[in-house]
Amino acid sequence: MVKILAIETSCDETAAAVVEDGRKILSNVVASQVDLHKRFGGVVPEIASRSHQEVINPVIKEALETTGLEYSALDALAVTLGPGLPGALIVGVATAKAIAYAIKKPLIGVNHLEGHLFANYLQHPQVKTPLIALIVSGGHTLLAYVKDWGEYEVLGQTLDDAAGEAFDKIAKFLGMGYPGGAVLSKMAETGDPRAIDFPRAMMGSGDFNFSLSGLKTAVINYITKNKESITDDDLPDICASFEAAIVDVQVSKSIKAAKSRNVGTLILAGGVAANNRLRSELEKASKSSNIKFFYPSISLCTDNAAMIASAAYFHYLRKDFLTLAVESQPNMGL
Amino acid sequence: MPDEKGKKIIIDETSKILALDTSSDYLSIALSKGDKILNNVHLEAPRDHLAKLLPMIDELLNAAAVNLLEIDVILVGTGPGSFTGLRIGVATAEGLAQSLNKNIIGISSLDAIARGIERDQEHKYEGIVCTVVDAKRKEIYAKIFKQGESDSVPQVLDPVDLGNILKRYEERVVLAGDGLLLYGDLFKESLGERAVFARKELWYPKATLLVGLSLKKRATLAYRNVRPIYIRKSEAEERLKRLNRSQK
Repeated sequence: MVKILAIETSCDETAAAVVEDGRKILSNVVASQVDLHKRFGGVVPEIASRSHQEVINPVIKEALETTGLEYSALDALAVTLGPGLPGALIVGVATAKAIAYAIKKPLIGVNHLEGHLFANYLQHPQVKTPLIALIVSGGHTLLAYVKDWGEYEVLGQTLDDAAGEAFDKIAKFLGMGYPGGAVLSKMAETGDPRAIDFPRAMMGSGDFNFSLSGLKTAVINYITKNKESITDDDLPDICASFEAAIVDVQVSKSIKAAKSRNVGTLILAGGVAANNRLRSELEKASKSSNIKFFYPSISLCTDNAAMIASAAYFHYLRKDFLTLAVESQPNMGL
Repeated sequence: MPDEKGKKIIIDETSKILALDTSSDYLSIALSKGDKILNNVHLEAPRDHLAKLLPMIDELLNAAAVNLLEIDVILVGTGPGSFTGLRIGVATAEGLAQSLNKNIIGISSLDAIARGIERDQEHKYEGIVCTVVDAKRKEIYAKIFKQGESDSVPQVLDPVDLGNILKRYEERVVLAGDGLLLYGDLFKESLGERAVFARKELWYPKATLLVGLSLKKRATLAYRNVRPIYIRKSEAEERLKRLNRSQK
């Protein structure tokens, strides 16, 4: 049995986890920094780096102690190499290298986006490749063809803002604080998604790319233009219509991607995978197209190290190990 | 999370020490038994610390036939200096320490620069010592030493303000650090004859000097984790502070 301890520090979550054979989570510790960044209305890279440095060793220690294992019982160490904030990634990579060297175990580098896909692998043994994956988070919005675990082809991605970013920016504009994406979605639940016809950018572009900055501007213009007449009662409709504009394009392109590659499985991953409307609309559309659809539970949607350890298992089987000279890769692609 | 309670340890001539400083453009590592340096490296490696630090530690240990497990204490230069460099050094020291149950001691990199001047074999420097490490954004990391002991806390200062502080001393002022490349003339102007520039080899913190500093005190508090000396807050925090101040 292969036990891997993984470390994840790509954004504002300091995380460590131990996973056995890519599926059995023995521990999963996440220290969120969200409170540190709140007053700045967004993640401050320097604050994130410093906080990672302060808590990383206690987090790793807790992840290991929860399992009752010693370092010697591990088979490998894994770490997120990228993509992510440069200073934040460095803390995780330097720490992982030092521990792997000290305990004389192989070191595995994992792509953060690949990690998100494995949140599904962790939870749903019935997920089979080939499949189409939609990854949506605060930093990413992309569609990938997963031929096999470890073999990825990016079909398309956002040309500007990530979906989570658009949610947070509109929420901030509406005075919902930071990060307000989830607050906005909650508000949208009671609204009418057809109330305002916001643009579905690139809906018919014929490719699998996305663009969200136009939608963001359209929402802001709408609110500014109707400032006099808009009351708090209109907010649910605005939120629901905005959310629907994002979701519609993502659902349509995901299903098209599955059909174009002739695959029967679609998975959703990343922090925005926690969005109820996105889940339910993808579920509906998949069903009517005869596609099996999977998404992870909320705790595995957001950044965590269990998904990194799970992805690392396949690298371990391929003996895909790093040297001590490895560096973080902030712009790493899937 | 705050440091665990420090543990009192004695460092003496039998202690095996691994020391490292990555706060400057130099990558500096030393391996010693007490004050006897077994092996060391001090090379210019800007933006290359993450790639080179562990491979070089491995090389030094192998060449000296010392097993990492034999190390009694890890010393790490805690700056102030490059934020990224500091994090690489501290994260590496902590990773090694926590997985092997070793002790770490954090020592200011500015103290190492001052000790280099105090102990220089080539030249006898007289007067007070002041580090002038380029802190970017037109500021420098300064710390003043008198007869080998610190006479100020480390600060980040405008070079003109530092010049004014140094004017108040009567002795010669030995200046060391890469800040001289930018502000050397400014100090010559404000201190005149009293300004003495240390030779360039002494401008950057050396790991071998951390070893000497750790042996200076008989008992030291060691930890499993150390904090880099940043002095500055993040730019976002400074901006917010200015904003709040201007609104009051």
